[in-house]
Amino acid sequence: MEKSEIKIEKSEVLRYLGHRGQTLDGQTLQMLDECISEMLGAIRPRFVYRLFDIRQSGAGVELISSGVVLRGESIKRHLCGCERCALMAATLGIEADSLISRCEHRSMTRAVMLDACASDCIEKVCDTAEREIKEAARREGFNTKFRFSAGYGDLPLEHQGEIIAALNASKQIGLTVTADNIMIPRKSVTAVIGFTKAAADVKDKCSVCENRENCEYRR
Amino acid sequence: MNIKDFLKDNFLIFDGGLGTMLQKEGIAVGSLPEVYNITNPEIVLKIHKKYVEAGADVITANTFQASELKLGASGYSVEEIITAGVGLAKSAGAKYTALDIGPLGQLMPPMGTMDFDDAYKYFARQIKAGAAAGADIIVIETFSDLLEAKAALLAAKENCSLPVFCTMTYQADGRTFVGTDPKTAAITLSALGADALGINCSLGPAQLADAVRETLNYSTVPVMLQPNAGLPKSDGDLTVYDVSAEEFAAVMREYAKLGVSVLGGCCGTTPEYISKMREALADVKKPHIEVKQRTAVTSGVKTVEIDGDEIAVIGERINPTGKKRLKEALRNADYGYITGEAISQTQAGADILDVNAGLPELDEVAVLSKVSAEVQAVTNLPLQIDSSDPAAIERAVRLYRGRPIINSVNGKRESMDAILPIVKKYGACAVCLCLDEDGIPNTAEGRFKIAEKIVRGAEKYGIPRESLIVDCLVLTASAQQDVVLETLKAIKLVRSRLGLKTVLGVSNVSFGLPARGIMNGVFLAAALGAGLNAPIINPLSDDVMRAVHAFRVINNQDKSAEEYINRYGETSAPAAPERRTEPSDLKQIIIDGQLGSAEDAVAELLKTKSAVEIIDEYFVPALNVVGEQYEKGVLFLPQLMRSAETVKCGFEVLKASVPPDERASKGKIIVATVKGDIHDIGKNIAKMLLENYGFEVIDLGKDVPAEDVVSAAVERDIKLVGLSALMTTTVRNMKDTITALKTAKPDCKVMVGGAVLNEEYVKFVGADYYSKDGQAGVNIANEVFGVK
Repeated sequence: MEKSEIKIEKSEVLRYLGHRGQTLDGQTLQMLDECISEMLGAIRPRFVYRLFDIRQSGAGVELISSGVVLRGESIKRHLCGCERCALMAATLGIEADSLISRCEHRSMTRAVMLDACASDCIEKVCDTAEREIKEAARREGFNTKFRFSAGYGDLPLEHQGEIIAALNASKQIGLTVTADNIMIPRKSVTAVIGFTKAAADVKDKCSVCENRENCEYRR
Repeated sequence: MNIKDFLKDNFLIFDGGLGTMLQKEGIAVGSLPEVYNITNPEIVLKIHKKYVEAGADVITANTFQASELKLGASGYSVEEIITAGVGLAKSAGAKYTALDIGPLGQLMPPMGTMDFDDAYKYFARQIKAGAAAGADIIVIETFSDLLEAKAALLAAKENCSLPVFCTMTYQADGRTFVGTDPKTAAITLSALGADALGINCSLGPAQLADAVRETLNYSTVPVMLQPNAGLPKSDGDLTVYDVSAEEFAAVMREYAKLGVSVLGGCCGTTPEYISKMREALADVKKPHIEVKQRTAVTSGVKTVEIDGDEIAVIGERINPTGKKRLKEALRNADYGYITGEAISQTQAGADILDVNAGLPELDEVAVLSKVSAEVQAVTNLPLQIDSSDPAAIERAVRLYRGRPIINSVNGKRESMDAILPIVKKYGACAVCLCLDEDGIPNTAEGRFKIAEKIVRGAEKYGIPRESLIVDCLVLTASAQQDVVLETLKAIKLVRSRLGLKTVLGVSNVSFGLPARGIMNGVFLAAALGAGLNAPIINPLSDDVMRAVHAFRVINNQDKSAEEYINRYGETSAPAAPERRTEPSDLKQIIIDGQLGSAEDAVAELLKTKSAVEIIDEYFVPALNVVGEQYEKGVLFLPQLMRSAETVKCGFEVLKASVPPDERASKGKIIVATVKGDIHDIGKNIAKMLLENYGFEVIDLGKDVPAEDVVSAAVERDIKLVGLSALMTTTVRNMKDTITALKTAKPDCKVMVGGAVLNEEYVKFVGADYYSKDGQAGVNIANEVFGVK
């Protein structure tokens, strides 16, 4: 994908940084602008997705002909009524990690800001992928549910490896996962988007999150 | 016929995509194709045979992911899958069979957590099985990280005698996923002894034109190319590729004419592509390729060529000789200080960094590798591994992601016997010191003779002479003024008669004289004039860097003097007014987070106050104000941090001028991110805040095994350990670490932090305290150490 498609949103970066209306001084704003452009300069955004027919099974939701069964009640509930889904993976590339970690030696303040910029940035890459997926769904006559990722509700993080394998994402976009299910590059996302004949989703992601009561980032 | 002999006169044709063909046979997406070697051997064999019919000389066994990491839960062993896979390839009837080795699917530090030695072990197991099963070639393919490729290449070289081919995968922007470019890969893999190297996967043949040209230009071994059949496109639930067999063959024919000699296909290519390509090559005569050896060094992502026309600056600051602060950092494993030196030299314009960790009380084998890894994590510059201990050199060079310089070998028999085999094995460049058993000759001719002797010695090992960089050595002008000019004469001799490049530690000339910068700058200019290629200098010194920048204009390296003008064009403008900070303002400077202002204020205060007084009267009260405002929500995180960082900069001034025992630590605390976890921003924030409050923090880094935390805590009698984990999956490693710690050292308190943690998890892991943020960590530390 082209980098020029991506815009980092200042208000979102500030939300990640825990901003709650505090006065923004000049130094903070200037650093924020610099970090946004530095991050946009460094990233090599990529995404990959693939469509599968799905069916509900006892333990969860099966992605037909992929060998993947997404386990748990949350994903069953979320994909209830869906016949198909898109499996997607997106990443900013290792350069984002490297920019942040190198900056930690120079200025922790800046590193934390860059990290927040990257968090918003990967969301924007996912949004781009999602737009393409929605278009594919529409062509097939479906509406879509919101992006659901391993770690939401009771969908286990242990799925990351299988999802990456099913998308051939290591080869396609350079996405890897450690023995402890941490994705590297760190600013990466995998997600499932359900295709349904019912109306599109309006509920927000926070409503399925187990941690919604004490999350400082909740919208 | 031996494959290397075959390659001398013939193109070597590989097969095409295997995964593509297996998918046509209905293999499930995301399943392990290697299992088919046992469950559906007839399908695998059928595909191999089609490729033999299409004209492939080499059949690649179905073993790309046959590592114990990937086979994990498959129910089959590495040996079972590989023996079956190589057996199927052999029975297809091709001239040669290749054992296929793909990446392990995990990244190595600093990006990931996979250990080099573990990766080597996985690869070695595959290679032993493949060789035992009768493979003729080892093919290491689709790699992104040169260090992982190096682990595989060394595993092949050290565990079998088969030829090893190695290909990397480049994206449309010309770099691999981790940033390696084709030139860097070609230089590094050639030097490491790959028998062929090149490019596979990711793009169609036409899009690889630049990468192919670069690879041909810089490889010293045959070049291999296996492109995809164009770019993948989704067609419904299927993946299709956009380049036809005819187009593929036509482009490959052009590359063959340019000099690519090992040709095949990757994803999306089928027997049709290989057969069309074979036809297209029928009337192409294999061109003769002139091999050019180069004096070039690389990091994982960058090449620096010392090519005679351009000078390269080697930064000398990471060397503890005569540097108190660096010695202290090495002893305390304070890698932050060392990486700071790497960053500042990089920013000052160094091209290569020398890394030396030689302190008699340290285990240099371990420490040099560690320092080298930490430095590589913060700079893209190639490194010069500097030690007098051959074992320390070998370990550091082995773990180095690229082609390093070894500093150094000299004319003594003992040195040549120990160092040259390492230079050869790892394909390094080497600094050759013109001294031997009789010391440093006084005359240029004497030093030249030693250089000649080292070149002859190296050639016996098959080391190309371009890998050698000669250091003609300079004696101090204060002691042996009469022989200083001999150095310059020797440089001229080495350049003209041996045709080799030269390196020189310049600053020795001024030892014992005042205003050393003046001496160093002038001597450097003279040495550059005599033909010095790579001065080893302090890039932070204006005196020497002025000579470098000016010389780069004179020798036509800095085109249109652009860099020179950028740097010095403004010098006639009035200097920025000197900042006058009243030291009494220090508190306000911190509260406002005025980065760059605390240093002067602290330096001023040090004239009248002790370090402890500055910490207690300025740092802590100001930080308390900021901390309070943060807790009340008046400030948000970046503002709190900027104040903390302002203090940190002030602290560096304290550290530089006050010896450790006078800084009066309020308590020693270990911080670490637990095993398996690589998120360390939170830990680093906590560390900075704790240090600001006068605690001594021992940072063990990220992905730290429980036993390292325990041994550090026991050895240093630590009362408080801070552990961080960001993922639910690594919280259990936190529990294991705490359990081990409490058993070995029951009086040690543990505080934990990290995004997923909450009070419930804290009970689960058995921690004493939950630190919801860095500020909370300070309060906990104050409580544990009884600070009011």
